[in-house]
Amino acid sequence: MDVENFGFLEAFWINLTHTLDPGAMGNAGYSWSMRIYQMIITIVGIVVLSTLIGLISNGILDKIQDLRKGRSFVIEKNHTLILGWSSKIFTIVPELVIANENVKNPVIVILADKDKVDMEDEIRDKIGNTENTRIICRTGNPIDISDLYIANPFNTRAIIILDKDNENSDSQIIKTILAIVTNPGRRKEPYHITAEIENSRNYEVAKMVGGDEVELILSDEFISRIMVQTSRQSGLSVVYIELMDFGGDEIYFYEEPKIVGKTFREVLFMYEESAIIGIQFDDKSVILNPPMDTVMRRGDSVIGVTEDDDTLIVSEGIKIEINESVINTSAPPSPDTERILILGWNQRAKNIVKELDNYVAHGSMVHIVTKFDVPEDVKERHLSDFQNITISYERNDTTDKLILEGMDVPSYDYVMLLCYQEHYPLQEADAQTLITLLHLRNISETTGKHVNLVSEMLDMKNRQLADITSADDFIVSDKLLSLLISQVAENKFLMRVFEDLFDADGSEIYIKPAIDYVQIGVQINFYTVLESAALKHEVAMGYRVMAKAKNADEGYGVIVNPKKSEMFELCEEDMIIVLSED
Amino acid sequence: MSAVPFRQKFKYAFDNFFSKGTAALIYWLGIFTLIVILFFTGVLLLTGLN
Repeated sequence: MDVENFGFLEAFWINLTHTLDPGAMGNAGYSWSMRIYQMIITIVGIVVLSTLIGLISNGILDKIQDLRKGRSFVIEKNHTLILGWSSKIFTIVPELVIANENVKNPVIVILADKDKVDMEDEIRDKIGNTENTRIICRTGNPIDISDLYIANPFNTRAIIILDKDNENSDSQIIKTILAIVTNPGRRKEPYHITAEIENSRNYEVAKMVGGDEVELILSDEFISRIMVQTSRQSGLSVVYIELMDFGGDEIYFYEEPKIVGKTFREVLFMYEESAIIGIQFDDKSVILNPPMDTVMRRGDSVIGVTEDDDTLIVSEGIKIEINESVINTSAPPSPDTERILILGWNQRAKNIVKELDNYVAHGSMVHIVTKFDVPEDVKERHLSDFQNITISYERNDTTDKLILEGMDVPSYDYVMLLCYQEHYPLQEADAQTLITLLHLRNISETTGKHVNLVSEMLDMKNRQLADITSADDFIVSDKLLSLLISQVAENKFLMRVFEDLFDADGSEIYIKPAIDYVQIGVQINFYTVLESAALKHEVAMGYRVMAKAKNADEGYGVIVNPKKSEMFELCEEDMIIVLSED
Repeated sequence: MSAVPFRQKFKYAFDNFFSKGTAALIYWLGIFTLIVILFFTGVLLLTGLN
């Protein structure tokens, strides 16, 4: 380079390249004075340039962050909208994904008071593959009408409103319902809202606000009832999970013209691959295990347990063979009195004891052991005046192994573990239950005596910690609740079916000794069992093979909705799953 | 659905694109860069600036 003959433009260009490009130093001139001069220029240039790059990249990052927040209106149709964020999402979304498998272009929209990117990352992390379902997240407050607008509630197929994790947010949920149904821009057709309410006192208000558009799930009551029912009947937890998750068999409704004019008893035998459990009448009211001579009319739908929504069909050309000679008609013996142990205390305990009173035989005994005194006013107002139960209290440390060993736990018919929800913070309360649970399992192992256990965990993560594979050792948590929410979100009327199942009035699911129904040790088909149950005004929906009771891979021996013409053999201790009044 | 203005549709498509995560963003940025380079290659060849 000729150093001597610089014009102004040439000098400007050289200085410019050295300022903007530190790498240009290498091709500097050869005189030392020129090199030092260029070095100074370059150093100044590095400062200027790095500031410039910093500013630009910061600006771009900000813009991307901003864009990722995504506040655009969700242009979708027939999507499922989930309002609020809690750990239940990780059960509900996979269930909806399975339910959506045969839907064209399904979408789930989540609107919650949480960063959009965080939500997306967490879903990708914990749920992963969502098959054909697209999941769209929006940040916003579900009680704010303008935020709600973004998530497009107007074109939804179903709306699910979730409780915040571990805090009572009934009032928030009621406000959200209000924001949806009273919105001036709302759609004319009714919404289908599924919401969870914790306290029964808030039920009336929520129902008043939402009317027929909202299906409410009372979580406290639901958990109490599940605890009572599953503790009394080994294997029932498996049946409930089978009915409530979208894998395996679920409950479906279908209006079948072929069965108009037939009685319910006849209808039972017309389905080879579905277990019929009830009728939905024209006015949308639901009855499970109706009187056998109920006649199906036009507009009535059958309610059946079946594999998928297109398998609830009348089977043609199947020869129904009923072997009447193997039917046992013996009346079941009158129920024995029971001894029940409750370890731990929270406000649900009073519901649980009240619910127990509906089921157990007169003279049964409930023994409550808790670290804290049961308040006197609760005892007086809620825990007196029982028909069948006598109650006793003991104040003792439920996490102390010596004390637990001294209680002779295996002598009780079943044991319920409640967490000290009101006395400890959540994680600590679960930890206490967990310790007691581990002690009890250990006692059961060392003494070799069987203990029927139902425990309660508040946090689903703790449930996974404690989970072992046995149908007699069931942990009730938000999981069943989440499954129920997803079922009801798919079909509004299922709520009435489950209400009927969990309610002590009407029909419930019972698991009864097979010997009351059919002879054991002979080859039979399920039509024979169905006939035998029908004679007792019950609906048989499956059976349980006790030889497989410890085998998790085979559903603990529980078989719901078997193919009716297939032959099988029952052993003495095997059970029949029926829908019955008592 | 057709009542929704194009601008809103575009914004929605854009948001969905952004929510696909960093990997998808880098992937599309790469494709975008390739398109730009190809475009300017064409410009250079056509104008004969070299």
